[in-house]
Amino acid sequence: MLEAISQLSKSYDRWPDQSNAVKQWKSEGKKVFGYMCNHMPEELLFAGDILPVKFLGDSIPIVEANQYHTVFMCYYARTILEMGLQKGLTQLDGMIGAYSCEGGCDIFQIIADTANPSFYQFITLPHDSKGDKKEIATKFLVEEFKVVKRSLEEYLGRKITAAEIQKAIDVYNETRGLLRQVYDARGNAERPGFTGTEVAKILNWIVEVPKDEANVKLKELLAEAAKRQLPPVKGLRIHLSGTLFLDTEIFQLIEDLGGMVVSDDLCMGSRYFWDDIKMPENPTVDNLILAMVNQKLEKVPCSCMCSEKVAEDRLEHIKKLIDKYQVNGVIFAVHKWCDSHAMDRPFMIKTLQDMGIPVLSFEVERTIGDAQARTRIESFLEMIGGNSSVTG
Amino acid sequence: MSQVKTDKSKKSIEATKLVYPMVKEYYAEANKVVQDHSKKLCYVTGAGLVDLCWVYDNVLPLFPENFNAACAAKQMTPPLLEIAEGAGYARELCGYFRNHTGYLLEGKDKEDVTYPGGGLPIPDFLIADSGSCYFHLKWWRETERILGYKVPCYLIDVPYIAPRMTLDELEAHYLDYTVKQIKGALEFIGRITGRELDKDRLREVVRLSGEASALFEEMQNLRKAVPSPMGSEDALSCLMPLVQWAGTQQAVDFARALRDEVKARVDAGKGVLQGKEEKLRLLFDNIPPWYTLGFFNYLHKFNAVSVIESYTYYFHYSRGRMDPDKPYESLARKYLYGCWFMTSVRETVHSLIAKKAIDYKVDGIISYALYGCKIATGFLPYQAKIMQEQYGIPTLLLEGDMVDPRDYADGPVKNRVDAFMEMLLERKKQKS
Repeated sequence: MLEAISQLSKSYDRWPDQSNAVKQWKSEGKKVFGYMCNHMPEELLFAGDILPVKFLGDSIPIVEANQYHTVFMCYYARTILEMGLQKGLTQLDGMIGAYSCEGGCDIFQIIADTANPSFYQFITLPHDSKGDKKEIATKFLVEEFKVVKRSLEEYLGRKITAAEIQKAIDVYNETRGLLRQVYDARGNAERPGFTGTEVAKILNWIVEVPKDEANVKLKELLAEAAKRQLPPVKGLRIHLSGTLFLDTEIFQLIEDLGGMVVSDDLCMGSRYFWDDIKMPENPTVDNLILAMVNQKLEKVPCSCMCSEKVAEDRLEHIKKLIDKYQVNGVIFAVHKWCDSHAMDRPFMIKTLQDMGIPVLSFEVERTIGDAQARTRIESFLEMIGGNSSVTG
Repeated sequence: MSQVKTDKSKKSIEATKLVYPMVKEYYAEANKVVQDHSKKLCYVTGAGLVDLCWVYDNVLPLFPENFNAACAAKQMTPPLLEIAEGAGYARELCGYFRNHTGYLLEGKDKEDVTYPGGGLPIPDFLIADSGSCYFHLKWWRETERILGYKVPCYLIDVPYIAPRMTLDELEAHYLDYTVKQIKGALEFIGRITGRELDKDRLREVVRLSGEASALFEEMQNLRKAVPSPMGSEDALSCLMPLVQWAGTQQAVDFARALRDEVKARVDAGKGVLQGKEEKLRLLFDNIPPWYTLGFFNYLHKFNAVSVIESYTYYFHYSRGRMDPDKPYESLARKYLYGCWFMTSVRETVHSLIAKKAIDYKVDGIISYALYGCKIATGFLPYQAKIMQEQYGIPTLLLEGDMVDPRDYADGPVKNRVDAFMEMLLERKKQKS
């Protein structure tokens, strides 16, 4: 592993209270907010000099959270509740929820209730936003983002200007572009610049640190990657589909078995950064907010969306990545209790199978080890020569 | 497969006995429509958009959820659930969804099976709202796909009411977004049925919907009486007319008959336990296990009655706001109320659950945690904690599914109920 990537873990922590990036930001008298879902407009916070940190969750045992929430919810979200109950979110000044999935909506209310940050806001995401619904969904989400902006301004005691939002969008778009370069470097079949595990570590880091500083580091990493002499992947080139993981074990496991994750549509992966915000020609506050909303509603969809043929749209993204990064097989590793992914999965698996793409599917709770993933992935890699699919 | 042990409920309200014939007749009409094409059939989601369907006299709305509950009551769900699971749908998904999907994929073609009402016909169109849960939208989209995209679909995405506002003080864009979609749904139905929107008829539907809700709410308030005039074993079965026919005279007539009967019982001091002392009063929380409604009769063994439910409160929106002169806004507020009820859990635990528990003088709560229903279930342990610590009312938390009896273990469930009842009785004795 690149030494510079190993060093990234020093600047953040899965527990926000332990994060050096959070400590550094707060030492400058600035605010830090936590969020769970990618539909939260990070740029608005960054424009107000607030550091947005995504909840990464952790592969910890649940001790107290079961007293507050049933186990019928992804382990990821329950570990955030656990962190709060264990006083691990005390450094967060605020939290912003987004109603993407209903389980997330439910548990986020308890997280906010029990962690009790000084600022709490919630965004309702329109779920049906294509075709005839595009106009009203856009209008609704614009109002939601404006509410967030206004409430941030009240909290901060100052206005967030168009110039600040424009600058934040520029910084975030630059991050997106650099991450796409990282993906291209990893996906290079002849001479990969990064391994799958390294990219997973970069993604964990990037959502926890200030993006302007991160962009400088990303450029350094890309320069180093360009000089590397990593051998081509001998085994299978895997596309990984799902949400996020509480560690990087699955990436490492696939590499240990001779393959590599060369592509993904994880929410802590390509779905986080794939689509830029299109900067408006006339960057007024209203136009900038509209641009942010358009990006949220037009980006590679989360499975929580209910517009017509969302699963088909998700598949289109996967298919493009399969071609772009010469993928040999797809692994669906989805959190148990994630309804929206579980709904889309049968159709997506069948379509990929019909295209002749080998597919493995399993559910994850706390860790990959708990899902007995090693055995399943080993079997998959062995069977893939026969172009078989394994679901479980 | 062997039958899972469950109990059928025994009803004591005469109006309840009207429900099954109404439902049977309704399904018979639906299957007749399949033959004569006299109306357009549509699938609608529970408690939501049915009012919109009744605006058009050539639409017959069908409730997959009711069909699923009926299949559960007849112990017919396991084979259908297994079809869905065999097709790759996870077992932890909503039981209603799995049963319906199993039916659509293969179950409907099984000639040797007699389904409730003769089966659920394939619709001409689909409409759904997310008032009861956002998962409905995913479910309807999946149904659209299973039906080969040959059946048009319209969804009303009812926004979750963020904690910064209350049901009484909604931000304008919440109402506007919902109203626009209601208008869109009416246009959509109009296109399919070939009918112009009759605005007088729309106002009438809103009036009738509000009247049925108000009568049902009146009946619910009567249930505060001691002894309880009607237990959950009856009340849950009486929901169907309100759900299916909201916006029609039929729903009003049924709600009035039910209200009158319950009022007569209260006036006569007649309780569910028929003269026996009512020692414990309970609140049942969440969707019930439809395959074993006898669960509520079992409570009578302890001189206990489930006197009120959170679930039945979901289905009647009156609150004095169904204004025929503001039909779109009235409907929007109704659907937003549904969304608030299901998702604004931080608020509903106090303003709904605790309030009902106090108003109905309950001694304990039985919450049924449904593994397939994330939004109605996740919060329940926290709710139990709040109810105990802030209101002094204990909760028994049971787990299962509303239509899938395969994980239901009658013995252990009753064992836990027995212990809970004994604890409540002892607690009450000590208090007195």
